Amino acid sequence: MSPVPAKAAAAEQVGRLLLLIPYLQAHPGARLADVAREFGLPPDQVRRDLSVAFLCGLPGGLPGDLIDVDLDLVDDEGVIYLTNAAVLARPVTLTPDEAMGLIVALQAVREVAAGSLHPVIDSLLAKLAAVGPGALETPALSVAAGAPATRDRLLRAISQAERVELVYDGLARGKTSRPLVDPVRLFVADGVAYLSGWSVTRQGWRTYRLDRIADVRATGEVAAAHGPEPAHTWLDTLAQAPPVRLIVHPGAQWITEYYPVAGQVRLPNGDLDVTLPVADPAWLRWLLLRLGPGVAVVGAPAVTADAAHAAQAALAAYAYAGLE
Amino acid sequence: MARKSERLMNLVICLLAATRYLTRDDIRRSVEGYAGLTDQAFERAFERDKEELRALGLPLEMGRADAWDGETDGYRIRRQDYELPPLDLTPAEATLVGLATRVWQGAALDSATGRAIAKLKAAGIPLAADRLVAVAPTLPTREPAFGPLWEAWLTRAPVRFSYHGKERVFEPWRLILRHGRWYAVGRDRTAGEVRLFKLSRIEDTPALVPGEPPFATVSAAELAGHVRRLDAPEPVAEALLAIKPDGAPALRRRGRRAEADTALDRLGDGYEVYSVPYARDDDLVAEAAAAGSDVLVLEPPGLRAAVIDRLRWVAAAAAPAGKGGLA
Repeated sequence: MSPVPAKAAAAEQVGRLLLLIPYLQAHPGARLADVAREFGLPPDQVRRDLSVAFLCGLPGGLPGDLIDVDLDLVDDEGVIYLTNAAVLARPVTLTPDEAMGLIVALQAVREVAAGSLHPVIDSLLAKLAAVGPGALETPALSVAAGAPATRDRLLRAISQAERVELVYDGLARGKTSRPLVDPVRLFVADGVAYLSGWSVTRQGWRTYRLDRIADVRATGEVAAAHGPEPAHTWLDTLAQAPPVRLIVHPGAQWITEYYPVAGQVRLPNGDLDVTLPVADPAWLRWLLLRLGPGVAVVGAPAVTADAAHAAQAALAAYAYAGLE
Repeated sequence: MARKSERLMNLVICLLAATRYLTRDDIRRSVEGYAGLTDQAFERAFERDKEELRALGLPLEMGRADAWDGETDGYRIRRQDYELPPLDLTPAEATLVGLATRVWQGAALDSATGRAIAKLKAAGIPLAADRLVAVAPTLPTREPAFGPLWEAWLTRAPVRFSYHGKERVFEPWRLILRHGRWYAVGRDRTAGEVRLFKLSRIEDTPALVPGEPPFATVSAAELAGHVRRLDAPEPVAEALLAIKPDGAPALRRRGRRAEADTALDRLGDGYEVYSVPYARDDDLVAEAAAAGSDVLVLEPPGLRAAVIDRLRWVAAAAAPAGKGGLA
């Protein structure tokens, strides 16, 4: 038996019936298995719901008042005909929560969709707004998703299996590179849109932030098949990266909100003792140079030395130019 | 369960088919499941059933019914309030609805969006399988305050929470997602001014303030002005930087190529000179220092000195007795 209490189970069944009854009237002769799949329900659940619908109807309870379902046909052939339920021809209208959940989800789709899809999404959003909760200002979503033209070209390359050359402004190394990439998909994680693809240059799976792709160039080559993408994500990789401990002074503590932090402890003097996973030493060097006296590395002399070496090279360049 | 479901279904159908408000007696006589109950049992069952219909989101309406013995409370569900209005989606629009399915992955709104999509399917709209698998957006809602703030915004209810150690009562006018973080703009009643709060900095679970009328918001234009406070500040000055050809992309793309300065012939190594707009000294110093030898600040001299100071500090930190050691 279901662990759901009978009371809640009855309300849930009514909720399902208020979906199934209009659906079945819009799709006469629908197959039980298809209906179950469409609503993500077990087929025997749909069958039980139908036997309840069969007993419901307008007051009076006479045969002409009741919803009509040919249950024999359902059992023998798996085909459903439900009639005499004109009063339940339409589903219940959307609640504010449902309408706004859908509208905001579609705004997120708009943020990463190809620019050519924007007119379709806008007209869809207008139609949903008409049935939604009215005069609310929908959330202002801003996904770092790069230029629409970049997305258009990447989506076209993906659908036509084209190899492309990216002009990529990598942050960790602070350099622009030009990898050859077989693009596979676009995705958004934590409000930032990425391209996932196979780097022909690096011979491995890579993710690229769309807002750092400065250009997508055609190569005229066909993308190769590289099997399935690895299941682990960049964030998983980061979680396994060796951590570095930093003492972060108050002026630099914004970093704990911008970068994934493995742990932080507030010290009595107002400093933060931060444990930061570091997947790329070049990124840590960049961060230490950026923050300067705002942080101190704890117990990793090689890390400190690496940043110092980069600082010395920069000072040498200033000195050479007579700019010191 | 089946008997209870039948009774609720019959009640829904009866209230929907009604052309006037039905009294409790009308309903008791008409809906088969109430037959044979004592007066007290009927009252209890009817009260519970009404609550369940409301919980299902059905617009149960109360009004004065003209009963044969005078006026009394009655009930009905108006079809125009109940039914999903026609949406007339094109096939391309219907395909896009399918993409919305996975956006709220794991978040509380996942189930609300799922119910919305099930209702569109029930209306006979063919939501084709998503051909556009290349786009898979998800929205992050890992801030524990998101759920209560969403509900407060949606129902226009003031909400109480603690921020920077202070208790606030706040009217969330609009939610904002920037760089993967949620913000809310609205009136901080405690401070008596319009404020922008970062949800991740809310220190407790926000609670809706009960018994308050829905708050009023401001015009879309005024709201947009408050949202703009999250934008990067406007540049106020330009710095002259020498940048290695592929180095410091963020600075290089913001700038434009500039005329060579007198010092340039001593730079070597293919530096190129750019004029780069900036808003805050500190930010430019941090960016230039982070780029190491890929960026040299030529002008203004004050910024150059600040970058060199920072580089010297980092260079000194590696020295055996350096202050960065923190042994």
